[in-house]
Amino acid sequence: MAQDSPPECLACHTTGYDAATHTWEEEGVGCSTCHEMGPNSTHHPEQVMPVNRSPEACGTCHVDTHEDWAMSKHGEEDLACVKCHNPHTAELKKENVQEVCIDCHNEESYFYAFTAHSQEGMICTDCHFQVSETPAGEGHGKLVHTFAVDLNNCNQCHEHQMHSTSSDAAFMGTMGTAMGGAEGEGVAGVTPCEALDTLQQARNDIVFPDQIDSNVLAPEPPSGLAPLSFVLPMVFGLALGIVVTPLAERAFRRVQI
Amino acid sequence: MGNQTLAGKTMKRRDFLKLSIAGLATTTIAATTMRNKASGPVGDSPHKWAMVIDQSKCNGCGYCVDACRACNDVAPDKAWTRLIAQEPEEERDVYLPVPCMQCADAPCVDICPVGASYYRPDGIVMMDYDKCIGCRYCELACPYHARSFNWKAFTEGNPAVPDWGQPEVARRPRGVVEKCAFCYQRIDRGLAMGLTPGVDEQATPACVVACPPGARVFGDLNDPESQVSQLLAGNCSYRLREDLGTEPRVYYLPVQAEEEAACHDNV
Repeated sequence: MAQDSPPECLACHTTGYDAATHTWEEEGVGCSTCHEMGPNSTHHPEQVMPVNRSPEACGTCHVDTHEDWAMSKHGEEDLACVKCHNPHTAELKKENVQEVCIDCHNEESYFYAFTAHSQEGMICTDCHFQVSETPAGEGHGKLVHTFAVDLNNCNQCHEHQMHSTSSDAAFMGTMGTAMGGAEGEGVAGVTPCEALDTLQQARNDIVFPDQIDSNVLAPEPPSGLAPLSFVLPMVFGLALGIVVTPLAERAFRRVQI
Repeated sequence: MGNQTLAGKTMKRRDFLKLSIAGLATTTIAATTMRNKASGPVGDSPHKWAMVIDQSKCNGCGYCVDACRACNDVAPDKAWTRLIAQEPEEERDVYLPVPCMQCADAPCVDICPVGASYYRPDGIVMMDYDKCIGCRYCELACPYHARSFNWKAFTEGNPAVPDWGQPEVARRPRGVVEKCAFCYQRIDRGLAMGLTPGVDEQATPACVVACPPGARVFGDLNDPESQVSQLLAGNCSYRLREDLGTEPRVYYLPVQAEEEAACHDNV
C-alpha cells in the first residue's frame, strides 16, 4: 500500500488487520469485515452466512459519520445505516440523496415546495447535509450526518443580512423586499428567525386535503343499477329456457300416464 | 315388489341400494381426503407468527415493498405487500401497509380446488406452486387482495436486486397465483441457526427489516415476552375486515386511538 502504511490508516483500509504483527488478510474492505468467516464460526453454505449490520459495525471505520449520526434524530430513532445505504456497494438505495430524504419525509416536502427557498432551486441537502468544514482527513467524514441546520447554514446565503439595518437589507434585495410592506415604507430587516417564522406561516396557509371540497375533485358516481345489468341476465335466461323447456316437457310427458 | 321409477325406467331395490351406497362412499372418501385443508392450522408448532404495523410510524416510504420484491424475487408489476394511502388525519398522512394476513380461517385455503393453498402449523398460509392450476379462485376469494396471478413468466432481471436484497426463493412460473408468505424461508433458516424471528434481522421478514421508522414488528404471539405480544397487550389495535371472520394475523395500531370502539380485544 502507498504512503508507508501507517497503522492508523491500515486499521480501516485493510481487512483483518492485526496491529501486533502489522499484517492483514486483504487490502480494502473485504467480506470478513462484516461477515464472520472461518471454520469455527460458520458452516456455510449449510448455514446462512452470519452478518453484522449494526451501525456500530459501520462506525468502527466511519467514526465521524457514526458520531454525527448518533447525535442526530436519526440516531435517536436508531435508523441504521443499512436502511438507506446498500452495505455492499456503500451507495444509496435510491438515485440520489434528495429522493431518499423525501421517501420518509414526504410531508415536509409538500410544504417545502411552496417556500421561497424552493423557488430559488434549493433542495433538502443544500441546508441539511452540509459538507464538513473540518473533516478528519481527505474523504473522511466529508458530509455531516447530523442533518442539523444552524446559523452557519443560513449565513451561507444570508450573511449580509445579519445585524443589518432595514435600509441596508432593502437595498441588498432578496428577503428585504419579499417580506415588505408597501413600496417606500421601511421594511424590517429579515433575520433568520423571521425567515423561519415566514416558513411556518406559509405552512399554516396550505390547504389540507380534507379542506378541499371533495365533490370538485371526484364527483360521486351515479348510484343504482345500469340498464345493461338487466339485459344480460335476460338473455341468459332466455337461452337457458329455450334449451331446457323442451327437455323438461319430454321428461314430464313420460312420467305422466 | 319394491320397484322404483325414475324417469320412466323401473329400478330394482337392489340397484337403488347399490347406487346409494356408492354415492355415500364417494362423498365420504372425498370429505376425508379434503380434511387436511378443511380446518384451521393443526399441528404441534410452538410458534404463532404475527405482525403488528404501527400506522403512527409508517410514513409511506415504500421500502418494505422494495425489500420484499428483492428477497422474494417478485416482478416489478406486482407487490406481495401493498402500500395504500388512506385519508389524511389530523394534518398528517396515513398509510396502510397490507401484506398477506395469513388468516387463521383463510378463504383462499377453503376455496382452493387442488389444495395448493394450505396451512402450516405455525400459522403461515403457504402456497404449493406445483399444485396450483392457476384457476385464480383464491385471488378472487381473498378479501385483502393479497394475491396476484402470474400472467407471464418473470424472466428479466429484478430491478430491486441488489440494492434491496438478494432473491431467497425460486421464481414462480407463469400461470400460478403467488403471495406473501411471511418470508418463511428466513424464519426457517433463522430458527435452524438458533436465531429469534422478529429480533434477529436474518430470521425476520424482509419488509420488517427494511422499514426505516420501525413501523413493522414481527414475532411470536405464543411468547408473551415478544414485542408483538407486548404491543398488542398495551395498545389499542385493530385488524382489517374482522367482520368476515378470517382471523387475520396482522394487527394494526391506529394513528390515533380516539375511541375505544375502534379498538379490538386482542389475542
